[in-house]
Amino acid sequence: MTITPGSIDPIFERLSSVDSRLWSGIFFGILGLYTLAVVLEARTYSSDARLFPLIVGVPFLGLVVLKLVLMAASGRLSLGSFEVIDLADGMGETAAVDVTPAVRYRREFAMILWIVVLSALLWAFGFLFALLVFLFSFVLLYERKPIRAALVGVGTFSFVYVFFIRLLGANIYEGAYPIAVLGALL
Amino acid sequence: MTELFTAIDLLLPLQQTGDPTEAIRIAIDTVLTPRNLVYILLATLLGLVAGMFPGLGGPVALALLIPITYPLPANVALMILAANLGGTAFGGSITAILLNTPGDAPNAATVFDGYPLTRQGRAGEAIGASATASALGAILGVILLVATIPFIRQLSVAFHSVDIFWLALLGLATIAVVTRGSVISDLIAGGFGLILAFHGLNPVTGSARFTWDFDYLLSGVPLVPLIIGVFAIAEMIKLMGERSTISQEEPDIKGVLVGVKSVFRNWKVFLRSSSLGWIIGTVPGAGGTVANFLAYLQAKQTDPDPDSFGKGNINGVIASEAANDAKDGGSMVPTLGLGIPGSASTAVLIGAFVINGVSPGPLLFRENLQIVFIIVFALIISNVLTSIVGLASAKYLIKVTQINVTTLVPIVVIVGLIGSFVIRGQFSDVLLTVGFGVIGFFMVKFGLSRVALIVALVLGPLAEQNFHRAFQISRGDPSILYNRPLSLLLILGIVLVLAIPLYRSRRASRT
Repeated sequence: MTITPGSIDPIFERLSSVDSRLWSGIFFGILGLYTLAVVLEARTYSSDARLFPLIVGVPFLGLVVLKLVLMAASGRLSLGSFEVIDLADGMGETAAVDVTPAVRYRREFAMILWIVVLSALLWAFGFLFALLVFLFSFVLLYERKPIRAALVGVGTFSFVYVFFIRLLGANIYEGAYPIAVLGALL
Repeated sequence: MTELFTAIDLLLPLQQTGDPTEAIRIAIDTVLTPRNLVYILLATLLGLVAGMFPGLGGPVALALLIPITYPLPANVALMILAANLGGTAFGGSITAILLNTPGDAPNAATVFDGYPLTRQGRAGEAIGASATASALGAILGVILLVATIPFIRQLSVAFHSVDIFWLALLGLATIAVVTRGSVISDLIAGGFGLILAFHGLNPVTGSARFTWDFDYLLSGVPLVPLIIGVFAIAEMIKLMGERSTISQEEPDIKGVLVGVKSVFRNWKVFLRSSSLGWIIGTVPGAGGTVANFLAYLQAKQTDPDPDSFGKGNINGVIASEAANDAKDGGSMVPTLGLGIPGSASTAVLIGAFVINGVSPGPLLFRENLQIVFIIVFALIISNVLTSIVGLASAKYLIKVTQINVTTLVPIVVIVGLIGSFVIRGQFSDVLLTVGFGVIGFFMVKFGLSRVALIVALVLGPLAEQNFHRAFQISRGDPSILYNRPLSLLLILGIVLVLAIPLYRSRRASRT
């Protein structure tokens, strides 16, 4: 069975049809639970060490609960619908792009997957090899232009090598399985 | 090469008399040597480029330069480092404006209006304003530094621990006022930042907190990898969802000049922000984050149209960047006067002083006054250079906003992850960046301010440590919190910061 973007769209369509307050609730709930753990842990510390965590943690928990209650009440009180993306922050400036929420979620999920795969590549083979493989395959997959993909990979590799390694003398992570080891194994 | 520099050292002797005229002459001779001018140019360009990469700006670029400058004479080495420092602050504003990713925490407030301007196709205007405000702010900061040399010691010790505690609270209070989201969401984001700030070894109480048996967390949650995660990585995930260029509008090349002019047109905002930045810069440890935010807040509060802030008001960029660069001159006051770093960058600079056999503090002004002036001249030259390079390259820089995201995103992601690694050389920092990239993405989705998170993470430890220090000094007497005039002034500032928006909204609802 081949997974194509179109074949998994129904999953994201279903996800996008779920009341967004549920996702918000899960996110704020996790924040609240972690803070609860912090508050409980803080009680085991000395008075000086626990003072600030408790001063911040307890009201923070109250704020999270208040946020959850307001979200839950907004539906029943008809205070207005919740947008999945809240632009009020000013930080979430979003372009007026004509894509359905399901497509947007699928693309965002794919990008998160790319980053996770990149992290694994980085850990295993280090920055320089992972950089080339990641950039080439990413640009090739999305733009279908092998020469452009190679140019982006080699150009970025050259910049990183010259700027970080030669000029600044920075040590770049070589990976848990450096390429030399991989080559010997093969 | 070392012999050559030894010979040059003989021509440029270290000053021993403390005579300002002699010190200035030696400083000019050092800085205006053609080769040293080239060094300044290279250091400035390096600072500018490093500042553009989240994680490499300020202290990291300086730290990486120290081994390179080590073989050089002290005068030249410190000149290069000062020039590098001058270049990094503006570099951080470029990514804040173009990619919604501040180069460092002190550029955080620049994203509020810089990025909306970019999305409106006005990136050139924002960069023009940032370059001009940065350069002029830095020059004003340096002029104020020179003017205060006669009483630098008194200024350096003006702020006690308790004042720094109140100043940090003043910075934290801006979270509820500056950001545009719901107050509850902003406070939750700020609270989350504070909770993160409590992780790790507390230097005052000596206890390791919330490490959950991970040695990695002993040194706390590292700031720069977190910034790269919540801004750069999160922004790239979001852009891939939209699959469009950053700006839908064709960038306006002529806007650069409009941005330059806007600084002169809004000279009151510039002067107020620079002065505020400089004063806060003199407070050891407070650094640019407080300066950046308070300057932004005052610009918003004094503007006839405060609601336009956060939607692309050029004064937001001017205020933030003028304060950020002016604070460098201010932070030199405690750095040079007492040997107490005024910011993270100047902490590294102090290390460079020591490595080069120069002791910052009162003796510096008696025995090596020429170094003070070399730093002053290097900062002025580097800031002018940075501004010129920034303005000249703006038309090329803004093309980033037109690059296809499928090309831009992977480059930003990989360079961001490299930036998060090189600071401490720990792969765990890369994983933390990725983790906070996902958290930052959900913060955008659910309307939580990432800037509030960063401000709280920076200022939380500052508030806590100075609170405990103040109580240790007073042997537990709580009256220390309010028995100094400066403390009372700062408390009044907090009350005003919180009350003015309430007053305005009540007045607006009546009318």
